[in-house]
Order: sequence, then structure tokens, then C-alpha cells
Amino acid sequence: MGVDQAGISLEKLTRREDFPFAPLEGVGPNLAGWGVIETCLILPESLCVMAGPSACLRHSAFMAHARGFTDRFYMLCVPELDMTLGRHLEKVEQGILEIARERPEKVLFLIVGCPDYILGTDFTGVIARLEAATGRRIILGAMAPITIGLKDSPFTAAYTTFFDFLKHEERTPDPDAVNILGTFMPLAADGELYTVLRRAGMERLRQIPLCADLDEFSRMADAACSLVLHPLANSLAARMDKDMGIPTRFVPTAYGFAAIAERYAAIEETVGRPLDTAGLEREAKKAAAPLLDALRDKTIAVGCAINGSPYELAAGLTDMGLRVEAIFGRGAFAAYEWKLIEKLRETAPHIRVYNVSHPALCGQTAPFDHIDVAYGVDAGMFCANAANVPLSRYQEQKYGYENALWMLEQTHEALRNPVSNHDWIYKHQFLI
Amino acid sequence: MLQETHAPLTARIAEDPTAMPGMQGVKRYHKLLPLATGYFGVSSALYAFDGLVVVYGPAGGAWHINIEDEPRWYRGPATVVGAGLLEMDVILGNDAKFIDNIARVATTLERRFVALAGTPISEIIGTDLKGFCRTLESKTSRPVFMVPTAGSEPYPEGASKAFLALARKFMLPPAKKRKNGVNVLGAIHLSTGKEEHVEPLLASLEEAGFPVVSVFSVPRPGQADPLQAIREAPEAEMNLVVCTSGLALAEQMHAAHGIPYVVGMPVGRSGRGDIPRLLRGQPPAPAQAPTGPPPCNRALVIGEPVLGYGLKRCLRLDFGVPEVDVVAVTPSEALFRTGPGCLGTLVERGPRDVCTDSERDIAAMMNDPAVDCVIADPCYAALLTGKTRFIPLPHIAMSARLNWDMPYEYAVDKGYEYLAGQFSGSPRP
Repeated sequence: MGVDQAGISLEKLTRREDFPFAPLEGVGPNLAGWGVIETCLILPESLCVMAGPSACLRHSAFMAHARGFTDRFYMLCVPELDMTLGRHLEKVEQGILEIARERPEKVLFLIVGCPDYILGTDFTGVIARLEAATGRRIILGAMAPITIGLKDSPFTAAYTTFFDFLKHEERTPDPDAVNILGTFMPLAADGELYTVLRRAGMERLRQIPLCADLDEFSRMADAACSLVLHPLANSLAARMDKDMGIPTRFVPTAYGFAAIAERYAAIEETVGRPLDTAGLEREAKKAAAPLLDALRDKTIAVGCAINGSPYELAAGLTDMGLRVEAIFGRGAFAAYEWKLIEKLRETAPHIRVYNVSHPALCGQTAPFDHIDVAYGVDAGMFCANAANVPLSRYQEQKYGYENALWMLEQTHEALRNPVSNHDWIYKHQFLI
Repeated sequence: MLQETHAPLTARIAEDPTAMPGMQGVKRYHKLLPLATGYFGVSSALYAFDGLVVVYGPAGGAWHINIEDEPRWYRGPATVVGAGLLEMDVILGNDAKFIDNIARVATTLERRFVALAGTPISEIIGTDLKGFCRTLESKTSRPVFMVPTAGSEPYPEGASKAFLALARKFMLPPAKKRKNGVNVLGAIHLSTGKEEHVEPLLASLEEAGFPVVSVFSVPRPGQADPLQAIREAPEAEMNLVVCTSGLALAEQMHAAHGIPYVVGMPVGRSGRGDIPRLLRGQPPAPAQAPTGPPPCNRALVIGEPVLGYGLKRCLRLDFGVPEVDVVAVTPSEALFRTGPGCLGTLVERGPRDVCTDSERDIAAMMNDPAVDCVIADPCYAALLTGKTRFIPLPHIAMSARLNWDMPYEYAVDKGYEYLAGQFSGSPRP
């Protein structure tokens, strides 16, 4: 099974079915973000309890533990036999009561796994009794890879449940308030997007990771609009739009100058105020020029472990005059990515797209030995000679033209002082 | 009392969680991870033999094993894969599709065998993995076997079943016997760590005149066929069980081939001489008490039981620690029921030794004021509330890749050097 089976040229990638899916997958370095625990814990004053067989708990908890998300997270081990017989409901109820007695948090996420999902276990009664006994909100979620591609991903579903804390809020619409949704590491308050929005008079900018408590989070109900920076927040934003009348715009993280300009144009339209970004764009391009010059002889690969779309980054780099040769992706494409792929088919049809999760790709590094720079820890696994630039969502977050510069500066740092891909994954915990 | 039993469950439990008669509390983890379980053990046992291990469930199971519990995955060939069951596959069956998928991957990757490991989902929906095996064998012309795991049994059980399946499929009647030849059983990475940690044990066996015929679970160096040593394992005259996952295989090989076995992981200087003596049918030599004050008075060893008892022996005989208790975090009862093939064992139960993986119970024991030294996987340090001396000894089934590269040793003299270095370097409480 050669590496060619795992890839296809961009020229031939015209529809989802063309993607080189494998008969068996789940071996590659990227399963596209299943951090349900971390997603739930973005909500302030929340606790997460996962209940299920030990194997499922370990799978879901490992990375949360590796990154230190342990204080607000508990696990309740339930054997399969108990689940099949429905004997576990009382045990889970008892376990949660004990935890609630020890913890002050106001919201408790009860996360179950594939077995409860497939058994259709009804936790309604358990949740009602627990809420009555503890006075806390109990929200049910599922960590169920068995639903991949069929429903919202588990972490999207978890993020969407935050709506429960907004839907009953009295709205006092605030024309100067904007919600920024979909950040894990928050954007800095002195960053470009904040500066641009504040200059336009948008004074109250809220991100969920920066809400100190549920009261502050509930004020997101007052926003004039929501800006969505990551796809996982689209469902929450859509609920807020439909049920609360808060318009939303999907303006995902971008690295290419043209895409960034498009994002700001969309934001300007959504907030209904002119945004002063021309100077930022000018300065960024000026600062980028020498950084780009030094990269013109480099060959590049882009992986889907980056924060953002690998197709957008590939398009941005190509527009900057750099040579992208490979994209490591998965078989799920957002609608906006097809436009980027169409554009890349014209500007860089030679790019080869690989299925990052294909068994034929495992252990294959020789075909990528010529790659000089690999964005994403997944691309870095295959491009063993490349300087690996993670652009991980666990690093500092930037938005706008500063993001393009940050990407280029990170590239140069990786070339000057390389950190091995192994260390990015196993020491810095940047996988997923 | 009658009134109490009619009160709502939640009200009674809100008052006292243990109030419900007969209600076993659910096991809870907070600072620790649950240990690796059955199909993790299967993967660990079979990883190095050039097969295809299919974790028969949603894709997440295999994926997590690869990126977290199986550090050998990094830049290696696809070995542990997930069937990738989705919701409709579970509801509709779709067995034929998965059999086809597995067959295609196994043949195009040219794997020597296929092993199907059960998961919570395959257990709940009652997938006939045995039937899959028969069909897959005819489609792939390769050995195919299943290992009946779910998602809650301890990992040594999964590894043990995998070893028995390997033996059934590949072991050959011995063409000859190798004088003093020994198989080392149970050396899976989840228990014993990197292969290099077991090397001192293997070297000491060879030096003592016991050539190593096979190691479960890695191929012998220099053999083109990674399964050659497995096939030839019955040529050994004795088996050495170094972790509980090897015990059932030892018993099976005694029943099938009359090969006796000893049990023990030799830790420290005293350990070096113990195993050869046991293999010769002699009891371990009484050791001389070391001079000088012991580095601690009461040590608590937490981890895999055979290694745990080896550590206990080393602490007492090499370092003179007067009291050592073992917390076996995986089932250990079988170690104390010596079968007819057992020539001897280094496993000796003490009055305070326990078998538990309960975070609550382990935390209580670790923080017993009488305990002044804990030897355990670094993850357990999070449970300490006082200034007890803590000596890290990774248990990969707990911390997996987090401590995979940490420098440590336990086997024979290297184990002594590591512990001595830790005692001299780490602060007394």
C-alpha cells in the first residue's frame, strides 16, 4: 500500500468523494479535535463529570490530564454489563451527588460515551433529581465518535449547550457589544481585532474563556452581533441568531492577506460600522516582505492540526508567492474551503492532498524529505526534515493581519531554533 | 428505619452516600487516569509482531491508543487501527463491509496476521468476532484470531488473552529442547516500559547460563520472522513470568508442553541471583542484611504486582527497609495460587499488601503518616498531601507517553543503582 494511495492532486479533488478515504482509518495523528472535556470547561463556574467504561474515560481524559485540565474534571467508571442492564443510573447519580457535595461549581456537565449513546440511555430522570437535590444545572453531553460525520461533533455539541445559559436571559440589546465565539486560548485584549473594534466604538467585547463567571457570560445575550472564529461555534451562534435575534457572521481565523481583508469586510458589514484596517494591512505587508523573501526557496506542507483551515493557509502562502506542495487533511470540508480549493486548483494544481488518517501514510517520511517547512504537528510527523511550525490553538491566538505576521515570525523562529515534531507532540502536548 | 427506606434515593444519599444497603459506590477518578484496559493490553502484547490489530469499535479507540498509550506508534507503520464503526453500522450490522475493509488493509499492508480486539461497543451489540475470523482467514489467507475484550477489564487480562491466542495460532510442537532455554512471559510495554528496561534482566539470564528463547511481547533480535521465537517457544525448558499477563500462558505451556515456570521480576542486586536459583529449583538465597541505616522505615510500592513484589524484595534485602507494603493496581490473586507447574516465586504477600486501583484508597494509603517513602508512577504524586519521599517509577499503563522517556530502571543491578540514586538524591520527609 504505497503513499500514493493516500493522496490525490488538487487538480483531481473536485468533490468530497474524490478524497482518498481509507477502508480503515483512525491511525493518523489527527482526529480533528475531540477535546470535549476542555470545551465544556471553557464555560465559567462549570465542572465536567464523565461516566462510562474505563477505556472510554481514559481515551477522553488523557489529553485533558496532559494539559492540566484536572481540577474541574471527574470520571465515574461504569462496567459495560451495568450499562446494558441499566444498573448504572443509580450509581452515576450517587457519584455525582458526592461530587456536588464537594464542589461549589454551579454547572455540571455529565458526559457519556458511545455505549450510553447507542443504548439510548435516558438520563432525564437522573438529571431532574440531581438538579432538585443539588440546586445546580446539569447538562448532558456525549463523547461519541460513533457519530462522526453524522451529527455535530461532540465538542461542537458541547459548545452549543452553552446556549442553555443564555436563552432565558432578559435581553438589553447593547449596540456597542460584540461576542467573539470559538476561541480556546483567548484573543488578547490588546490584540488587533480588539483594537479595530474598539476604534469603531464597540466597547464591550466578550469571549467565553475570559468570562469570569456565569453572570458575565450571560451578558453575551446583550450583544449586537456575534463573530465566529472557529467552526465549532457556528451552531451556538446560529441558536443565538434564531432564538435571540443576535446576528452572526462566520469569520474564521485566516493567514492570507486577501482572506483577512475579506474577514474584515464581513465584520464591517456585520457590526454596521466602518473599520479602519487599511493602515494595518499596509504595515503588515511591509513587515512581511523580508520574511517572505527568506522563504521563497522553501517547499512547504500544511496540515489540518493548525488553528484554521489548511486550505486557507495553503492559499494564503501561495498568494504570498511561496511554494506549497502538500496538504494533509481529513475528508470533511467546510463550504468555504471548496472555494479555496477551486482557487488553488488554478494557482497551484500541483499540490497533493493526503488523507492524514490513511494507513498507507503511517511511517512514511521519505516521500516528504524535501519539505522544508511543515505547518501543523500532523504535517510535521511526515515531513521529518522540515522545520515544524505548529500554529496550534493551544498557542497564543492572533487575529487579522497580526496573525499573518505571527505565522511568518513563527516560521522563522522554527527555522532558527527548531523544536522537533516529537517534542511539539510529546512535550508541548500540541496534538489534537 | 422504615421511613428512611421510603425516602427518595437522592435525599438519603445526599445525607450519606453510603446509606444505600448493598450499593457499591461507583469508582471515581479525579487526579488519576483510569488504567489502560483490555484492548490496550491486546495492542501492547501484539504490537511488535508485524500484525494488524483491529480495535473493533468507533475510530476513537485505536486512535487514542496510538497517540497516547503506544509511543512506538510515532512514525511507525499502521499497526493498531480502528474499525471505525458509526451509528448506522451498529444499528444495521454492516458486518460484511467491515470484514471487507479489514481484509483489504491487512492484505495491502502485507501483515502477517490479523487480531480483532473487542471494545465496549462490540460487547454491547454482541458482534461475532469469532465468525469474523473465519471469514477473514479465507479472504486474506492469513492467520486471524480474536481476543475477547470489552472496555473495563484490566489490561493484563487483555494481554494474557492475546498471548494465549498467539500461542494457539503460532506455537509449534518442539522439534528439540534448548538446554536451560527460558521464555520470558508478560513483558508488555504497559507493564515493563521500553524494551531497554528489560534488557538487563535478559542479559543476566544469559550470563547465568539461561539462554533466552523468546520474550512475550517482542521479537528476538536477528530473526527475520518476528514470530519465529513465538513458534519456537516450546523448545524452552522453563518459563519466567515477569508480569501477571504472562501467568496464564505459563500455565497453558505447562499443561501443553510440560514446561515449568517461575514467577518474579528480579529487582536490585538481590534480584540478580534470585531468578537463576528459582530456575534451578532452589529457593532464593538468604541475603545478608545491609549495613547502615535504611533510607526509609516504611515504603509503599504502587504498580504492577510482580514488579511491585520485586521492588519490595529489593527494598528489604538491598536497602534494609524494614517495612514494605505493595499496592497491586491490577489483579494479583492468581499470583498467590501457585499452579502445578510453578517451581518458585518471588511474590510474597505481606499483611498490609492490597490489590486496588481506587484513587481514594490509594490516596489514603499514600498519606498514612507511617509511610515515609512511596515508589510509584509519577502521576500518583498528585495524591500526596504531605512531604513523603516520592520515588518515580513509571507504569506505562497509567502515564503512557507522559513518562515514556523518563530515565529509570528496575531490573537487577541497574534497578539497585536507580533506587540508590533516588534515595541519595531525593529529600527525606
